Amino acid sequence: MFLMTLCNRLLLPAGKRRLPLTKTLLIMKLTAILLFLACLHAGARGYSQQITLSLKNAPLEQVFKEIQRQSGYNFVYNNRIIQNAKNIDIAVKAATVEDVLVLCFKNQPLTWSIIDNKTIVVKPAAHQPALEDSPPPPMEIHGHVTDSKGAPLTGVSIFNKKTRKGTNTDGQGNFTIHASVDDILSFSIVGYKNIDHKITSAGGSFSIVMEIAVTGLNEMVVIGYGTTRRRDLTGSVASVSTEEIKDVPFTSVDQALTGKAAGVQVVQADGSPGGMARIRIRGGASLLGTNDPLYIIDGVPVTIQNRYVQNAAEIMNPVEGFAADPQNNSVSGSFERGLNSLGGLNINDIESIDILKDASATAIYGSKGANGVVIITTKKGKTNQKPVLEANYYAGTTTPLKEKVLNAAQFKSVLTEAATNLKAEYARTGRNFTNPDALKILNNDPSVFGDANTDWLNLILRNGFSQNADIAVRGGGTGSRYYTSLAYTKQNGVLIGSDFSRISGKISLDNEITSRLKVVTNLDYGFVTNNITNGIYGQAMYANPTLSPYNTDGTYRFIGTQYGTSQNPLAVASGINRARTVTLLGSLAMEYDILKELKFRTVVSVNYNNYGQLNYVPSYVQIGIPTTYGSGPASSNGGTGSQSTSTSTDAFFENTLTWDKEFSPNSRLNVLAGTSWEKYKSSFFSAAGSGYPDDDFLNNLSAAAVPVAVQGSDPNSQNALLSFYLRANYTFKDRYLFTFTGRSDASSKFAPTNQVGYFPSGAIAWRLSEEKFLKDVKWIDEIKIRASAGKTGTQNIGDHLYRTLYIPGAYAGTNALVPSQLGNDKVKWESTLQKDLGLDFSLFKSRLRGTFGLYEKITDGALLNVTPAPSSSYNTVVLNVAKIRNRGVEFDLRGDVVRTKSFQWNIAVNVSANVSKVLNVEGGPFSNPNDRDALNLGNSIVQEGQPLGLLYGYYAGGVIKDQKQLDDYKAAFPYYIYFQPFVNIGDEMSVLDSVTILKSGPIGKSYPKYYGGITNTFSFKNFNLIALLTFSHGNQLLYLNDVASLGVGSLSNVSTRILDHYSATNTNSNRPRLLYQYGGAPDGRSVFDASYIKLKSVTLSYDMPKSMAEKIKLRSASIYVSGTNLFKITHYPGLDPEVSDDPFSVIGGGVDASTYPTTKAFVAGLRFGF
Amino acid sequence: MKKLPIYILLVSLSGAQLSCKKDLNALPSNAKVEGNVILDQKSAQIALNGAYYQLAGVYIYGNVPSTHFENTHENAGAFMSGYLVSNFDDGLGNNTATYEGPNFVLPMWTNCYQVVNAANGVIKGLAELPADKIPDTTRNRVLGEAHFLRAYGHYNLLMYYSQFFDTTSQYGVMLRKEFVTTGNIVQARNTVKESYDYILADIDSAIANAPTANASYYATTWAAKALKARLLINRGGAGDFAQVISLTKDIITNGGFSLEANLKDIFFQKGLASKEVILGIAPEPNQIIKQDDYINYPEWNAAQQMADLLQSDPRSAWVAGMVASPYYGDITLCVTKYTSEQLGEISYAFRLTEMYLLEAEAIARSGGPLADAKTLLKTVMTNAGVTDFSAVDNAATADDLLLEINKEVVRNLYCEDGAEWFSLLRFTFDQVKTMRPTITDKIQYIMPIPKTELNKNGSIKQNPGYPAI
Repeated sequence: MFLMTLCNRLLLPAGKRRLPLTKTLLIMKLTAILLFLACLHAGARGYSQQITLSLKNAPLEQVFKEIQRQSGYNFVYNNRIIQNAKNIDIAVKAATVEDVLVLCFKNQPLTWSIIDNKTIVVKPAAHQPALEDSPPPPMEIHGHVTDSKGAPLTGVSIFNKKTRKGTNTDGQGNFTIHASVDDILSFSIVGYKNIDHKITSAGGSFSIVMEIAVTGLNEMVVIGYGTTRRRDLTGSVASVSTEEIKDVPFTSVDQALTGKAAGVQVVQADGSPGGMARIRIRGGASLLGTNDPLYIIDGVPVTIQNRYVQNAAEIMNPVEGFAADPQNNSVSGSFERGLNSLGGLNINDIESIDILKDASATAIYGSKGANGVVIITTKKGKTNQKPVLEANYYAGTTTPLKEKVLNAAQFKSVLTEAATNLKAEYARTGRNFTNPDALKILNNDPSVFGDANTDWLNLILRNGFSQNADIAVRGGGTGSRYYTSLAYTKQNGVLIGSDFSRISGKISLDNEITSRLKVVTNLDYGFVTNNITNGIYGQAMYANPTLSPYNTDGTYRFIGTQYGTSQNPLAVASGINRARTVTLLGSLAMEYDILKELKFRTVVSVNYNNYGQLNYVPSYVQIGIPTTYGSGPASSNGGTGSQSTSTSTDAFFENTLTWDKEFSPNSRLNVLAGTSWEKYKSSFFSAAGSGYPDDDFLNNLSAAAVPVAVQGSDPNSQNALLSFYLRANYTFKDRYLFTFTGRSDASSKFAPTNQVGYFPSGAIAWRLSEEKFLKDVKWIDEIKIRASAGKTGTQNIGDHLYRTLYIPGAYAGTNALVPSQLGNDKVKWESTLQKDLGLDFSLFKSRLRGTFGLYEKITDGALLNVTPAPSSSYNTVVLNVAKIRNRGVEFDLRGDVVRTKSFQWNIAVNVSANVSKVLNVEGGPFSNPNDRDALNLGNSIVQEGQPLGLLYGYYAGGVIKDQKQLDDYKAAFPYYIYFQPFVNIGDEMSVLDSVTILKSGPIGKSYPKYYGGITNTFSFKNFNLIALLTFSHGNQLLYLNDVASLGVGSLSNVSTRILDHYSATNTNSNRPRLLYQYGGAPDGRSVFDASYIKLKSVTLSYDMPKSMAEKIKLRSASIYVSGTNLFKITHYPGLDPEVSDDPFSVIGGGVDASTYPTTKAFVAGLRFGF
Repeated sequence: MKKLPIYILLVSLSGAQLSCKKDLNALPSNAKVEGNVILDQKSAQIALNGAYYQLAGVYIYGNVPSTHFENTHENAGAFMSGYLVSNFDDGLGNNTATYEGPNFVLPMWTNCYQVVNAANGVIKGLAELPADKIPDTTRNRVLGEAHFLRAYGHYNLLMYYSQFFDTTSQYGVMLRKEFVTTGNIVQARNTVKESYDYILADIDSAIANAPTANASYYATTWAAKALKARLLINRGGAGDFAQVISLTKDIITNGGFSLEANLKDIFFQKGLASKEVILGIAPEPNQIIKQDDYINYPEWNAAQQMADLLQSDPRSAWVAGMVASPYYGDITLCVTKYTSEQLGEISYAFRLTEMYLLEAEAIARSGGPLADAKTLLKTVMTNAGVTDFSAVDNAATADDLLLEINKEVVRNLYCEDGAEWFSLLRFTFDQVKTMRPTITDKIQYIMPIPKTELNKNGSIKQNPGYPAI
């Protein structure tokens, strides 16, 4: 027995070791000799050669033992093979050993031999594969393994749990394995979730789709015109997991990027439903063009643009009336923030989001890549899959945050105090007290102080209801696959009259015409209707609370004609501001495998956008018009309305060749060459009329009595871009990676001599962990160092800037052509040189993963509209003058804190810091890139040697606290007689530049020192909890509502912040005493630290166990609850530190203009699949 | 089948290449490019209309294209002569010497050059246009009007920004003789004499070529003669007054114009249809800029001095008076002569009345018979509704009469095209100081070169007495 066991050990020492056939035999021979020698020692006992046996259903082992006992022969065999043998019935009398053995092994998968008349060796029958000591699987199974995008996966190991036999997929993802019905095949590959597949029917082939494990080196990353594995990547690419965002009620994908990727800063502009987010990837540098990244949605480039069509139905914004910014922007500003270019895309259709950051990754997009590229790929069907229907529904509420404003009693007391002080000052300075408003206040005039106590904010705020339903069907046969979806989203805004609704979806169809030819069609569509606020929030904040909203006859009460004061918010809300957007992204692609390694792909795609805008200001509301020196209210002349429409078509024709060559296992080359032709055309039409018979029904343009303006042009803008590009990736020994990318772009936007721009880039990466000295370090999975450098550009600028143009006008009712633009044929590409250094690591069996990045971006020749000498008769000429640098560090760390079977806790942290510096702007500071020489126009400033995003305003001098300060101040500022004739203790102390000029300059910075996000994912059994915290540190905001409450400038209401003003009883305050007609101006005092940590979103979901789901005839089911903006930690006094008044600009945007209140949202939803 | 995709590729690539060149250099669809603007008779007329468009100063105001003549011609003279006050004055006085930048300094400067450049564009375009594309008569007519517009632009630059009163001065106009390109923006100033000569040459071409009859918002040979009269009376050199007398007489007798029997009718009833208008500015439809600037948001208010001057004058009822702003609610002294709603916002560059007054002044200045001058003055005043001529009758000397002429210029041509101001400056420096006490130095006769011009044009020299940069 000892010997048998010994032999067993020798034969299969590790139990599982699988050895090649020949080797096994050799070992068996050797063991046989050893055994023989051993047996000699066991030797010379006499045994009978006659065997008598009678056994029923006996295991072979029992039979062998009996034979051994009777004959003295030793048996050598492997226990395992014996276990598989059948039990036997045997009855022999005085038979020879050989005869008995023949009976024993009859119909057994075993054979035997006798060595030296002493030892019987039992082994599997010769005709059976001797690899495994198991019975042969009855059939050959063929299969195909792909990733979730349908790309074949190479090197997936497949293991039959029953037979313990394994194999790997080949280069096309195919495999062959033996298995019987009910066998379980286990599929595994690093970076993907393991899959166990039970063979349910005999024969045939099947497909397996492997889902990417949440993180991993082998995850596929989408790069420009292709995909690659993360470990093969040389560039800086961040991927956002759609798993983490799918249950959060974000309406558009840009919002969903918040806090998810290092180097990507996302600031929600305001709380408009479906509104715009401000996204900057590693800072922005284009002063004239946009700084949003380029979005590639299913291969179709989509650029962010402001589609608002300027029209006559504009309203004054009382909030910005307190700042220097243009005030007639209640409507245009709301459209700018409330209309999202990505609003037509349904998040549930998204399969993957990859963000290309460095030049090596973006250079393939050449002149469009300087602001980074976000590649969004939507879902596709699966081949050989029965149709699957997935449905998702959620509903929830949004609640607004509310500003605190004075109630009627506080309002009366504040105004009265201000007027009383003013009267006293008139008396002190020996003037006749004539101020009409102050007199009205002191006389308790009913037009100023009504007897109501109206909470205007309550009248216009509401809890919004939102719901979303989407269904998707996907599936596929052998040669084709499809995915189609339809989604409906409706969100009521928290301001009355504002909402967002969308019908969107997609149709995707892949067909394999032949084994080499594939035709892929895709259509993403979205129909979005936005009812956009016209700034009623600002109106309501400043509306006089002592007045009632309605007249006795039920009409809207008119609450103010004063310059800059607010109008009745309910009256304003009764206007119309609607935008309808239709987006179609369609493409037809043909892929042909010319050779095994050489693929050709041709795509025709189109990005079609149709935008309609309807505006109406009722007769009882005043419109805002720009006057020569600012803005002013004007009669809407019986109602002013406008209807506008714009259409843009961006068509692409692209051809690419991909050559994927493996010269040897150590040397792989991937070359992509392509050409692309883009043609953009847009047209618009807009008409405005005034004088409508009825404000509610007959307010269509056709009902207008007076035409105000008609404009239109078709095409209004057209441009073309011809590009050639090449990318080569070379991998040597799996550890040295090289990428070269080059693109040339010829754009119609530049003069023929400067038409072509070249954008080369190169990158190297070294997978340190593959080197010998690290290969055996167990806790290191991967360490990769990357370096890249390259040039990218921007061309998101106007057409024909290089030509001297005449535009049509009309004088005396006849046509005129007027020189309008001075051409500069030297205008050329803005180009950005970016250098990037990165470190990727994965440690402790992928428990800790991370990326560290360092970059520098220098944009040279950024375009600026420079004002030539006015005697040139032209306002601007475009010059490539500005030079701007962005530098930054990024850090992304992910770790599995707990990784047990039933509980997992994963943390992902990213932190980024970006510092910009204006290296050259050819002269002094400016605010508006379209009017280079106008300063002091806004709240932002661009200054050489300083970062972008500076806030601009007066320096805050504080409050005069005593007589000495007052005397000194008067002495230093003799012109106080004009500016502050009543200056006294408690008043503002201006900081002076000279005796005549108040000092102004940078008073804050709107960019953060660092920002980022923390995602915590907890999984406990079937529960899943995802919480996203976002943070930003060091950024500041100019809080306009605070500026407004520095003083009582008019009969408008103000924030309760005014209650803490300087007075005899409150001498510590740094807010001036109340003096009617002396309001605040934006100065440093109203710039606040807007650092924050926010619980941006949290989602709890429960996946129903499969068995339970199957019982109710569902394939899968889950329920979830989700909330956004649940709490924040911040010192910022306003409602929300995460706002931007101008999401497009790289210069401005750092103002909290209280445009649309931030909301908290809660939803509950169901998701199930059939 | 195997090679089909390759063929598709080749065909599509070559097809793309062909269409590329065309599209990459496609001309804009909503604008014309320099070089293809003037192609024939019609397009020459349209380009010329563009120069008038610039003269009118059309820009978008309140989303409506609006003429801007009040800011570029009407306000400056009235303001500097003290008959108009600015609400955007910084309170430090309106003395141009210490205060760089009444808000018209830059707009006027820019607008003058816009007119000059548009006219240069027409002149250049015509020069490049082959003879067979346009009849000679049309070519000359268009050229004449373009020369008039260029002269008018340069004239204003001379009068407001150059030492026009000193023909030996270096501080003349920076004359723009060529269409602007990025290469010729930076230029130095010409002398005053060169400026006069160049402007006169343009005017003479306009007198020779411009049509004798034209719509009243387009230039004629008569408008050119009127401009010449203005220029010469300000130069005041030897023989200039005689020329002024003959030019104005010519216009009065041969021009086909006639004085409006009731002055108010021009502003409130007839507008550009009045027989008295030599050159007016046609308003754009629906514009409200003048209404806003003078009444609604009074950027400009009539000065008390103006109200005083109009005391006991029938025009006090409609030239300037107390009006409440519908938006501010304040009641202020406003310029009211442009409040007609039915006419739209017409501006008047040259009226026959001015020719009468110029002739009267030239007679008085050149020692001619005062009675003739008085007759001319009284004719004008009669049409304005004045019945009390005692002041005119009592003017015994030429100097006395000139003062009366000046008063009538202010009352009659108030806020039209700067006549108030230049009429004042034609007095001796001592008289000017008495009449306008804020003027203490001849520096104040003219405005500074705008700061932005100095910043951008290194070759241009600031006027004496003003900060260089």
